[in-house]
Amino acid sequence: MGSILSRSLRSYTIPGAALCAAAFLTWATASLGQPTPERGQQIAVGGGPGGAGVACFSCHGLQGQGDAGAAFPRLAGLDAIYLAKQMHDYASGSRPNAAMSPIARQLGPPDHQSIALYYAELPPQAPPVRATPADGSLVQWGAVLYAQGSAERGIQACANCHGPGGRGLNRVYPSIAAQPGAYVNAQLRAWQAGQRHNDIHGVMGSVAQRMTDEDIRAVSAYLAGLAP
Amino acid sequence: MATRLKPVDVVLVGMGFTGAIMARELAQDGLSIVGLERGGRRDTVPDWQSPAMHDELRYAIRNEMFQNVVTETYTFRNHTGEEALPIRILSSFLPGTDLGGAGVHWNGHTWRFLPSDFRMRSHYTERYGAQSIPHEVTIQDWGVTYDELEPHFDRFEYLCGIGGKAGNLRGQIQAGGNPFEGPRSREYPLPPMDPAYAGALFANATLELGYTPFQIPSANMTRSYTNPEGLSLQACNVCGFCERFGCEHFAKASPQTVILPKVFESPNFELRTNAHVTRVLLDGRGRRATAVLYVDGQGNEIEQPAELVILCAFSLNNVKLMLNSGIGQAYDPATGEGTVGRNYTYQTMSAATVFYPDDININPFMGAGALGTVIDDFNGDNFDHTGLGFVGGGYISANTTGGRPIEYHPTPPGTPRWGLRWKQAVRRHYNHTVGLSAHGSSMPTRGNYLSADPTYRDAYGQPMLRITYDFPENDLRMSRYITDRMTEIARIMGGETVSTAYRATPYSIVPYQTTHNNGGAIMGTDRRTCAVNRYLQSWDVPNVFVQGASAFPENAGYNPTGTVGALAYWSVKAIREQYLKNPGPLVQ
Amino acid sequence: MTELTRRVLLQTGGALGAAVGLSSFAAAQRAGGTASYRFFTPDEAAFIEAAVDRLIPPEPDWPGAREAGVPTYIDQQLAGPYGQGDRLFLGGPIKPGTPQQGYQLGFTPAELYRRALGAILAQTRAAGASFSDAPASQQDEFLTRLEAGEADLAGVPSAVFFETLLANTIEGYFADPAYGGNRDMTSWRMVGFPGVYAAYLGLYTQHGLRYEREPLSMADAQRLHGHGSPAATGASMHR
Repeated sequence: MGSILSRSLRSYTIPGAALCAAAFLTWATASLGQPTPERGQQIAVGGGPGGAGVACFSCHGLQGQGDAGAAFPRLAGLDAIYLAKQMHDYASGSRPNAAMSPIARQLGPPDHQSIALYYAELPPQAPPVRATPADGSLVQWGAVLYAQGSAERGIQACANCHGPGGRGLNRVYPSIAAQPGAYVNAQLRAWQAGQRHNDIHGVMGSVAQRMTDEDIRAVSAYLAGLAP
Repeated sequence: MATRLKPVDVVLVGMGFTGAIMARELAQDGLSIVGLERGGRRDTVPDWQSPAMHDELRYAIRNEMFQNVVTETYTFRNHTGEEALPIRILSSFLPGTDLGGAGVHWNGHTWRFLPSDFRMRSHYTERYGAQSIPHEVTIQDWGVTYDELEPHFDRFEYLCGIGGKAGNLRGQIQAGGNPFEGPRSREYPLPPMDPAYAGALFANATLELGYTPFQIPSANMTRSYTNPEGLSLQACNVCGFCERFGCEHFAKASPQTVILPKVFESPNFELRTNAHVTRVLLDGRGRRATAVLYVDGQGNEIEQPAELVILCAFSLNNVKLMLNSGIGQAYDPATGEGTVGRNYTYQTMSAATVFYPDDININPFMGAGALGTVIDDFNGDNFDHTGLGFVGGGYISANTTGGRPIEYHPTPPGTPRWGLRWKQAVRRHYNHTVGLSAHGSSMPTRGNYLSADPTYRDAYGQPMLRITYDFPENDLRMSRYITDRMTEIARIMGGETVSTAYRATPYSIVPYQTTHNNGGAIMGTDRRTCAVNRYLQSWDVPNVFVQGASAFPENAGYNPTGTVGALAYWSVKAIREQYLKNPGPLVQ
Repeated sequence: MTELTRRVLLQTGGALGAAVGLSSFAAAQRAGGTASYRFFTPDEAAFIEAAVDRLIPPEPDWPGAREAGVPTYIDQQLAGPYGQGDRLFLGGPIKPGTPQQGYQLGFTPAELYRRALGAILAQTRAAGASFSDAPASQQDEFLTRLEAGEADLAGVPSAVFFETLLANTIEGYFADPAYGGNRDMTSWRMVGFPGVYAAYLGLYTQHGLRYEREPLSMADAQRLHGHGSPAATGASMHR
């Protein structure tokens, strides 16, 4: 019995199977050292190899709550595997970002994972500063899109994958509640333009391409106002 | 007195997959087309969104997407010696309703029947001799070949974004696909689904036995896809709410996602919902359809005259309409005369279950309708039937369609059906069990047929369709054989316990099996033994065409939808290129 | 049936003797207090509560059907369209059929329960017994005999009643809590079913993954929606 299962499943492969993205999601613990949240905190506060100038907290806040004014996202309470993958993708370029890509490349995979472990354990908090109060009817339209989608544009409800209240479903479908509106806006545009393409099978790109500018602003405003 | 409307060129009865294909194709010739759907409109947004869509009780148990028996049901008996009684609760099969029909809530298994399936009698006679076909089995050749249908299979598969791997590419056998399939002109439009754990465990066992596992061809998108109609779909999220549910993600090929938006763009197509067709009206000589009679949402009777009537209402409803309208002569099993209702077939299913230790997490809820790994080594005539005493076969698969708990809570043999030990067994085994399925063919017999019920009528006063059916001895023999092969696989899958069961007899309408009801208006070359010709045109009323699995002279060991789609494209091509230019019988 | 009752339920002697002559009020007191029923009478409710708790019994860590709210589920179903037979063809003639022809009684689910429960209660009362007061082993034996079809319950074969009760119990235990059962998603937690929000692309390929996520029900959608949600404001979906 054990031999059947322990032979694992490599004897059955299908041509063209795109398992790379999924494969990453298992911990690729490098030989360089075991990731720990304590190491993550060190980097978050002290900056790691890049020095204090690139300490995470300087942009993402001491509680990892993000900065709405500057559109730096909340990290506190996000799923650890999701966060580690984002760091990996910043480094590899499948999620290119002028600020984060160089930082991520300076850190290796064990440090990506340590940072992720640290932030995942922080209590989720909303960014305290709101840029401007959102237009009520825009937020309402965002809520409708989030919960129901749009028949006219062929967009399904965001909630299907991101869960009720934007809390996320699991390591693949992240929490998006209480993220700065400008941050969500920028991400949706990046998905739409194909600049960001680090999800599985291009679902977010396909969804974002169906969204109008107003849809993007509406969903961003809605998500920004949710509890984390 | 029915209100008579102005005539149109074409009336389509039913707006599921075949109705949508008819509408899309015929509208391009500028014809005025009315599509009559007995149910209502529905679409991905808002009707199929979470969380409301993922309500197992509402959709999978109370059957909200299916035909309501209160309005219209069928009567059933196992053989002519019994009195048929109404199917009072839908169970063995679940006919769909509303716009999109079963294409909304199907699982998405999309196959091509084998070349030999289209000419079973000839094939078995050639290979094994006429004696190899049991006397009870009334198979006959279809009148169309796999090669003729190949471009239409291809077209339907590209319409629906089927994910798979070609096993036979222009005669070259390819790794990763079905080595037994008929030759394809090109690859599938999308790659196959990655295997689930259950499928991989199954695959490894089949490899040990020398079989060839591959992924089930799937209408659950495996990538973002824009089809030839210009409609875009998303990669399936593997949510585990596929069969009996609409897809929230635009990830399942349904008429709404792959074709209807284009149909609705056409100014010469009109959709009428809540339009229940009761009869096709014929002229005095019964040789020409003049109009379709239907009841609208307010209960008014409406007569819609038309030049061409196409029945797209699902196999059972097509045959019911033909019988109640006098299109063709009703089949009488006592005399063997008549064609409408003969060769009714179903699907011959059996199952095996493998129970694993509690550290093997199967996660059945991470499912998709056509997510499965399969072997075709025992389907069709892919294996040597010499001395076996039956014709036909079936595929054997490990599917991960979902783990919805009202329906799915497997327990090993010997577990009580209720009580503390049942509850403990459910807890222990829910996430550590794999189910295998044998999906066997269904052969026609003289005594299995469809007819108009003499006693029971539907809510519109029409005689209900009576189903007279039991599993032929041929099919039970076939099913035992492939169940034994399935059990051999199950026993080396590494579980602690294996349970398996032969197909229970007699056929009962109580446990769900499949909604693969076929035959009753079969296609062929001999007007004495089939109701429609090789283009699905009625032999008796040439301006009536009948789509769907009602055309199947027998049911192969595959899900029918791929072949239904191919036949629809094949038939509508003949309508456009031949019939419209010269209305009349296409085959003398 | 009376014989069945005598054999099974009277063996408890004194305790059941005390059950003779119990008023409806006392039965209602025994019926848990917290549930209020729209369909079941107090006597019927007492039977149902006890019966479902034998079908899916309580354990220290995992509630039984009663605590999970299954009696409420069944009650609401019977009081609603399902109970009225909204998806059941009742057209005549009604005739008995073969087992392969399925359900052929002319009763809606509500009628079926009312008849069967009425017969069970009348006969247990006449025998001076009470199902809900009997020890579990005798309740199990009673249910087993119902299951085996050993009684006619005012026109309802007891096996048909039992199968309906068992099916409804399983439904109520595993359905979304919005229907009154599966309180706090107890059954979903027990088996590891994550509930109504479901997306597993990228996860299902991690064979053998230990997946633990707090389950989500339809009510969670209502509860977790932020401000401006259509649920809260009734916004139009078109823009």
